[in-house]
Amino acid sequence: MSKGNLEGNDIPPEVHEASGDGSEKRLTRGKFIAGAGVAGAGLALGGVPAMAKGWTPQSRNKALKSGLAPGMIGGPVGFKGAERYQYPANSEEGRAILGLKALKKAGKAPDTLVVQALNFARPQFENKFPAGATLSIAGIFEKETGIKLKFVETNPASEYQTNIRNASTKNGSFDLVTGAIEDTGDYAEAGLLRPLDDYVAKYKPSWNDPKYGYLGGRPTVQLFTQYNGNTYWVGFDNDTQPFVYRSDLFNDPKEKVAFEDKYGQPLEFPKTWDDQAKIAAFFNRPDAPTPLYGSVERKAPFWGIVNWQHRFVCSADPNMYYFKPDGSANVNNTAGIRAATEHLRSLGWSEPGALSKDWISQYQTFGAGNGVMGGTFSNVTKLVVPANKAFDKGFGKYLRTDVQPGRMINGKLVRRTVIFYNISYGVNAFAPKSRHEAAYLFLQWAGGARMFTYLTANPGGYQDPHHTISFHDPLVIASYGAEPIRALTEIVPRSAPPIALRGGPAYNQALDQELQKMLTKQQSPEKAMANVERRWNQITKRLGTAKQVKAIKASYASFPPKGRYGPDKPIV
Amino acid sequence: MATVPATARVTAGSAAVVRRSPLRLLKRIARWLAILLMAGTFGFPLYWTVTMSFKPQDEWNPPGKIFWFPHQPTVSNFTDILGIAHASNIFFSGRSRSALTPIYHSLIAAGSGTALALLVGVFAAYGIARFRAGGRLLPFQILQLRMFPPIAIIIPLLFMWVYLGLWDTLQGLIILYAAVTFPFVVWLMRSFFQEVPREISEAAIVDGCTHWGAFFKAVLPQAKGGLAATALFVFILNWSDFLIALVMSQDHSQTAPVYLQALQSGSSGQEYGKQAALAMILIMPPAIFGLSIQRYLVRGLTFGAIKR
Amino acid sequence: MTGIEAEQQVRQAPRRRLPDFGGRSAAVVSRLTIAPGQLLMLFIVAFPAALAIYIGFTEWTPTSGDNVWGAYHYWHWFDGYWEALTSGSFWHAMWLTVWFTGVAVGVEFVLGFTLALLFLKEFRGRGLVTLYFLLPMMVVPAVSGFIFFMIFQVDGPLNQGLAAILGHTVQIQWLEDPSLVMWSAITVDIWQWTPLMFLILLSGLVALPEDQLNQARILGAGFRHRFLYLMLPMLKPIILIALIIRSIEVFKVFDAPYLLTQGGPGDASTTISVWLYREVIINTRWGFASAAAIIVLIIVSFAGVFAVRPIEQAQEETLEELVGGDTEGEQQRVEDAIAAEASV
Repeated sequence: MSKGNLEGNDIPPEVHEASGDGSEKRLTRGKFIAGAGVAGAGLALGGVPAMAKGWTPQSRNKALKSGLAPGMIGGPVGFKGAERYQYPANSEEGRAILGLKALKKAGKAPDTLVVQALNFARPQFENKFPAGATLSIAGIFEKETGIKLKFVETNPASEYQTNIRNASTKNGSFDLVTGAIEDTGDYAEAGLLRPLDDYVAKYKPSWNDPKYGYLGGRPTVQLFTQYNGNTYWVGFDNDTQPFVYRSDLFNDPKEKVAFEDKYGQPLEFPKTWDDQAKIAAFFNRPDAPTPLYGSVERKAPFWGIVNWQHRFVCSADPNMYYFKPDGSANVNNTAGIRAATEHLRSLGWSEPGALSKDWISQYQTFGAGNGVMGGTFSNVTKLVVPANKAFDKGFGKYLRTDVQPGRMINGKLVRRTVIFYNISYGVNAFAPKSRHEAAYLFLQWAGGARMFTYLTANPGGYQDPHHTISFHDPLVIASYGAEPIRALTEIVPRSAPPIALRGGPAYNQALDQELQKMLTKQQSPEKAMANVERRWNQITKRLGTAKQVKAIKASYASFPPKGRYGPDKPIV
Repeated sequence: MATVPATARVTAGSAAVVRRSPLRLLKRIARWLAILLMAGTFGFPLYWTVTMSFKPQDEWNPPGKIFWFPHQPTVSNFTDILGIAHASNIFFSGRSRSALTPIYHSLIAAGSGTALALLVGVFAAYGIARFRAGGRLLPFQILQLRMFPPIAIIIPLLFMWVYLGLWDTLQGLIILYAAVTFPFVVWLMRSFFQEVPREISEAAIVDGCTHWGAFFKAVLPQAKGGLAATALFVFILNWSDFLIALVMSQDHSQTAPVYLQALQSGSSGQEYGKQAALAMILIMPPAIFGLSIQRYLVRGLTFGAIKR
Repeated sequence: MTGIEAEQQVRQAPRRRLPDFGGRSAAVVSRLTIAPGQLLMLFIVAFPAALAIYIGFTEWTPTSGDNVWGAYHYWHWFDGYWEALTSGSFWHAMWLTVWFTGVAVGVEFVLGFTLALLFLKEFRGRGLVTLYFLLPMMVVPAVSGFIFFMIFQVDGPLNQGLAAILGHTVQIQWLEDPSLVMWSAITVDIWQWTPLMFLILLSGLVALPEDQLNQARILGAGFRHRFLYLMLPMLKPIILIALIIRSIEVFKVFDAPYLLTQGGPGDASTTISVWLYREVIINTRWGFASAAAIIVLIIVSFAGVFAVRPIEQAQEETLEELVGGDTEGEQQRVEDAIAAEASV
């Protein structure tokens, strides 16, 4: 059963397909399953021939008794399609469970793991899903390893405070800490996050695997898990920012004719920010019976900076970086000022009071049909659906998502989205050392391709999928919708990081404040960028330029690589 | 009201005798109009909170629309907060922890903190008012405690509390609450004690009381009204503290205002209805406290026989 | 004054059931009354103050990976103090705070006093209506911030209400306009804390000796003169205490500006507490924030000394008159009031 090379990072997909062992291959038939739409049928057809390898009468009997498919050592049972989330021994989940069992046997595993969790993370761990499931994910973990999970909640608004506080007092009460991507550098340098590289080498999670790994491969893995060359996190969310738009307006023949008459180009999803501006201006009709706002993007304090970042990062091929290799700020230039100017201009096409509206208001605006387009979180399609009457007022069904618009750079269309406020889990370095390994293994297990797909299929929480196989999973597709999921497969590989260096919150706040001043007409875009440059350089100097430069250079690797450009056509 | 002090009644009566004219009626109407106007203005945010707590999610803050009252009233905000039932139409189904435990923590921490602050502060106030204890500088030094911005002092305190094992305990919160509010007890009670004529305590001592006895039997009853007002104010300060509890608690002593923060941020967005529902619940303890001592509040200091 | 008295008391005491805890000696009682308070202060102040001064001399931050005892690795003497003192944003925040405090406390005082006067005369249900006016301060500040956040929305009830009155759409940007946002934040504070002014002043007002007021009234002094010449002077200590308590609290104002706009837009409502919050929580500059906080404390203490001195004096003077049996002074006041009335 051992196929260690499955975890090889650089195996091309076709090689992998051939070398994967039976059970692995069966589970990769996600596309087929999705196409058939009936999970059970897909499994039966795809699974039987491939199963032969690991099949013995004993294993079959044992498996039947536990409700597991043959060859599987664990996972959810009790509902149709549960087999998709079960795992064999030589999978990342299997290795984690076997590792934990070994630790337990040797008396090196704790009885309870204390997990710091944000509000609304818990239902996906603790609620049974879907109907018929016999155990929650936490329940499965306890049953298979004998280790209980104790979740302690931290409010999203005070997550940074809590973690910095615990780092400063070397508080080891959490075995697992949770945090936003922007805070990675601070947590790592404060010694809160334990580097996980030794465990990654030992237990070989499949993150880089073409099928079971993170969508987009190595850059995505670096984006989600690494800082300054070390692995600190296991990805537990996907807050890449798609661009949502109302497809009915874009496809309306009358609008198409009117737009072409006015601008001399066809009306279609904007590929560039220049086109986006034209369309926003064209559709901006605040006085219509159902008011239309051309560009509904968040501009409130804290929430707004990512919309500047989208416009900034795509200003060079392959990426415009926030910092130059010498550590100085790279914003007081054409790209930065243009992004700021566009951010300001977009305010003119925003809904009234946009400067104090958070994402809930944004979702409501889209659900009520007042929003033409705008960047937002990837769960917009999950939440603004007809079933959710709080958000949807009849327009949810028209919403589509796509990669953010971009810019033509030397004849190439560079489209980028930025990941924002993405939540991950890491191991608390201050927890007793004897607990680290078990804590990590829980993360490898729950953050593994199969288990995490299962977790994110549950619509009860905020955690979004980022594994390649998740995007072919019928339950995930049922939760998010087929088109948005298809769009995400284009969006994730084009995701750039936010500023996640040490001092990330300080850098982001400086940017936020200066942009806010600009949006409220207290200063010009030029002045704003000059101020951001000055403040960023101060922060860098204060934190030690040499040290920051090293992390800045390492961070370049988590940007989308050269050659990864945006789709020329709308995704759906 | 059953407890109208005799003197007040006499006052009202004698005033009516002195001036009874149309002008007086007009003045009365003006006075009532003024009270009503103030009541309306100050009441609107309260009205908004009350109605908000009964609104379903799509009436909270829909863009471009306004619901002056709940069109489809619901108690789901309350049941959700209290962990009785989870509203099914809320996208993030299920709140993992109800507000009950944090409310319990708040009651203990704010209640005991207030009691401790009063215990320590009332004596000090009496000592300062009656004996100038601690010299001229002491009152100011005590007040200085309150001048320091809490956000700055909380960091050194954090290290101290962790070292002492007081972090994330209710005892730790109680001590802190007492410490940060006792300056107000001292200052308010000092002025109330000073208004109690010295003859009262001296008479008690002549009657054979010790200084302590004079304080408890003669002076303190005279300052009941001030004590009630002070207790209410200090309790409210402790009850609504956010920052201290945020830094000094995590799991075992999380208070209601910290819990409240979960309803207004990040991944959950603004849950206005539930915030309002929790606000309604959180207003109860101080309101009940206020109700139970209201007769002292409006009657103020009664000088009884010695009143001139 | 009390040594001999106390001895007499001892002799006169009929019987002693409980230990008297030195209750016969004023000196002992005096010391004992303040001892717990002093202990509590020492406990809560000594170590934190020392630590704050220590890290105030450093550029230590927990994200450096060194713990607080190792802060000396980042020793830079007075650089932090100097940076704060020469920082435009620090003084901007101080100025906004002073402005906020002045306006908020002033308006709260006027409203609270008016309300207290309206409540001075007994009427049916006074107790309950009083309680109604106390409700705003019972709302947890975090909630009141968000209630007003909604009220101040561009499409919120305030603008819509104004639109209904004025008959055309109103789109005042209460939170987004840098020139309005401070007023919005002040409104929250006024709403929440006028009740405290009202409570303290009402407690003071109802405690005023009524016979004098009646005497003045019967002798023909109008309300205005009774107010100016009798009530105000007699209330002076309690008024000053109410003002100073509110000033101290408002000076630390955090919830309203932070919850409405996070101190924004930009730094248009960044009061000193919001400024410190940013340095502590977002920029994580704990050493620098300690230095800045010490500067703030020194400034506030100086202001406090000047504010407290008149209180001490006023309190002593007035109380000597009121309590010490100086009836002449009071009589003089009554006469003043009547004379003033007559001269009008």
